[in-house]
Amino acid sequence: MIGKSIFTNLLKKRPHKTVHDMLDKIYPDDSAGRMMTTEYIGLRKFMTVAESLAHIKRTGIHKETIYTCYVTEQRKLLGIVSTKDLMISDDDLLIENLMKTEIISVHTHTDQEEVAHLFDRYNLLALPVLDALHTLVGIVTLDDALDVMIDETTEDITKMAAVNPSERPYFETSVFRHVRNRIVWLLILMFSATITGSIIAGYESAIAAVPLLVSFIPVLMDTGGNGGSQTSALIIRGLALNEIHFSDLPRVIFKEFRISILVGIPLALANGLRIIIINRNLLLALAVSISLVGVVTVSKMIGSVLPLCIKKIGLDPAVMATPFITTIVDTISMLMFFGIAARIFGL
Amino acid sequence: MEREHLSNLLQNRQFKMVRNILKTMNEVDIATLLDDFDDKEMAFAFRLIPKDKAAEVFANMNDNMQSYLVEVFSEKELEDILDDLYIDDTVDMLEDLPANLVTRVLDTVSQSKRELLNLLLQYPDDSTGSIMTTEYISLRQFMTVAESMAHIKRTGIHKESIYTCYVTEKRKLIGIVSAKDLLTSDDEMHIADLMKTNIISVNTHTDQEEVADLFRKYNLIALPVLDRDEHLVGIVTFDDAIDVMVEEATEDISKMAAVSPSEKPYFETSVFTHARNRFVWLLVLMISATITGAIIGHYEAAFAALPLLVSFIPMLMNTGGSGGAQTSALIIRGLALKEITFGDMPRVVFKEFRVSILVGIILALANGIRVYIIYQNFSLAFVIAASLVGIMIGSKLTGCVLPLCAKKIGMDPAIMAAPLITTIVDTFSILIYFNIAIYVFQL
Repeated sequence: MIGKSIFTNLLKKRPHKTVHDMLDKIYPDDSAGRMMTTEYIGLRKFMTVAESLAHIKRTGIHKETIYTCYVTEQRKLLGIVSTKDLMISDDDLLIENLMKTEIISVHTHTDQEEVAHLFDRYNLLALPVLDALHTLVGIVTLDDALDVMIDETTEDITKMAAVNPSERPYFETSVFRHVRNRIVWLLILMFSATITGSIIAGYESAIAAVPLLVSFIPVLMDTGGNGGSQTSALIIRGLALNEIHFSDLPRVIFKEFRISILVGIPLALANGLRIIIINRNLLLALAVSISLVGVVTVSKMIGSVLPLCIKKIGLDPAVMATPFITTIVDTISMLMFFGIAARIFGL
Repeated sequence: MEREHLSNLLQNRQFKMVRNILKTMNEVDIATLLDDFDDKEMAFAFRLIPKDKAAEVFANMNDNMQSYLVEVFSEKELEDILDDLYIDDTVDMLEDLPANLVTRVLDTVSQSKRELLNLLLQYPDDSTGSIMTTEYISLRQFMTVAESMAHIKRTGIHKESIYTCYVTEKRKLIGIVSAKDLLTSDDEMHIADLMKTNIISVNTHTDQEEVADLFRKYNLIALPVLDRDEHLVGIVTFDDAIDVMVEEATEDISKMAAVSPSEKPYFETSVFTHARNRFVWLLVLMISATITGAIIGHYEAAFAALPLLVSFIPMLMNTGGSGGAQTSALIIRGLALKEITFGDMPRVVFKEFRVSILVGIILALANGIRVYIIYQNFSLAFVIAASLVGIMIGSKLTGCVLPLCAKKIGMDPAIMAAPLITTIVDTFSILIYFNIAIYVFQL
């Protein structure tokens, strides 16, 4: 009844394999097909509530979940009946009149992240899985969807910190595996940071003239980096929860622009005042403050545009965002700072 | 597209067609669709939703839509919706409603329901009491399976979850029976013989995060909530637990990026709130970055003698910051999932120490060779390489010790993530770097 012919044929050829091993061979990693179980309660539309309950009593004990029942006809999914409805309805009511026909389902090849998202959105206990011919082949249950939700979040957090995600918990991952998961991004980040270094080297004469400029490098780089990652974290999370889409780009940019002005100006004032009081140098205060507003604005723009664009071209925004944003923001902030300082000090 | 189609039908007064479309749609999708409508249109369309779906659609709407509807509803409409709305959804709505509308709702419901709502509204924001529902199936231990099924048939329609039944005696919870057990057992069997007595439960004041952890750990669909006297007062259902899980993860991600978490989605948070949520952290971090700046200023003589030293500052700061952020992110997530605890500190430190040695040596070799090739200066290459190893060890240890200590003293470890770690790591990166440089170059 459940895509039986395919499986029995496979089983005949390789009798030592279980059905589950077979499923693993047929469906890609991270797909609904891999998550699903083939044990579910199937009903017919001409059954009554009493017959259905009797059917559950006979067969239910071996099923992972019996709280959603699936009404099929020639292996096609016609409707869904919740066990709650069965338990509170009259015995002689026909399933046909009780079932819900607006069905939320996925395909065997649907990505598990999408599956988890549907559970969250529709508060599901189970979700039917259909094959290419729209035949019901299994169901995904809530516990598996929850595991995926947790794993996906862990992956996002890990990637945002420039670590390749590991499928195992921290202690179960070996030291060498940890090194491998981290070294590549560190190398990339290290070498891309040398770009910033060479920009600074290009302003050697400015630094020689006003050595104090150097001590403001950390403030500008850190504030820019933090401002950018604040925005990118919110956008990446919004994308993961389907709250933000690529088409929101103009709205996001306009919103982030206003935020960066509101955030940048008080930061610039605070820092400018500090410089005037401590260094007694108005020009320096001016150079640093103007740069700060610029750096915050640019970093927030990049922090919002990059994840959206990366998502649009089909890559994972969580992976790409951090290194790119840091590198680009660092480079731009140094160019701005030394450019503005050179102009103000007439260097 | 769907939106315009429906909007056109409404304007052309094709109410029957609208009703038919809404009839075939899922409640959650209807709520999403109506969110795109302006308020008047939304209220109009809402009135066309079949009655059996209306409450569920209402529960899935956002605060603005709910408060608009509560305001424009007639006495009768409000009464109908409130009748069908589950208690936890009602509380959820009341928590975000303006005061005058809260009064309107409380005036509409019955005396007993009003008392119940007032009680539930008093629970602290993040407590179990604020997300629980008081509608559950309760059974007696001397009932048979058949009697229990009959009881569920009579009372189940108004319960949010009937898949776990609670066996009580003098209001104390003595056992749990799953609907699956009821459905697959003999009619004459007694509940006392069927119920499970090892019960996982929480208190009304238990933190929501704890509740979400229990759902994840035990694969629950509902969790009983007891009061101080161990009386059963309600249950938490899985949908609310999932919402908490998602919210907590979003909160952690926000905090790890130095943003005070907002309870609302990105677009529903105003520009001013966004600015406020971000400004304080940026200010704190900016001030701490000036410390790094001051330390650099301290070595003015060194880079006046050897200006090239300055151009390696960003590379060392960034690499140190990233190394620390990698570790802190893994530890913070491990703490959130309870895979790592404070007692693991020695193991974590030892592990990160080995990781940092290996990572540090690879980075040092790669960059040392690069510097040597470009500048033909062995001393400079050595300074950079040695600094990288030192910085990597320091940053990875900072990245693991700080979140663990934060957790220990009851602070949120997510605060000890990239931004704060970076500024701390920056300071000692500069110290390590300039001291090695001064030593090697005899400055």
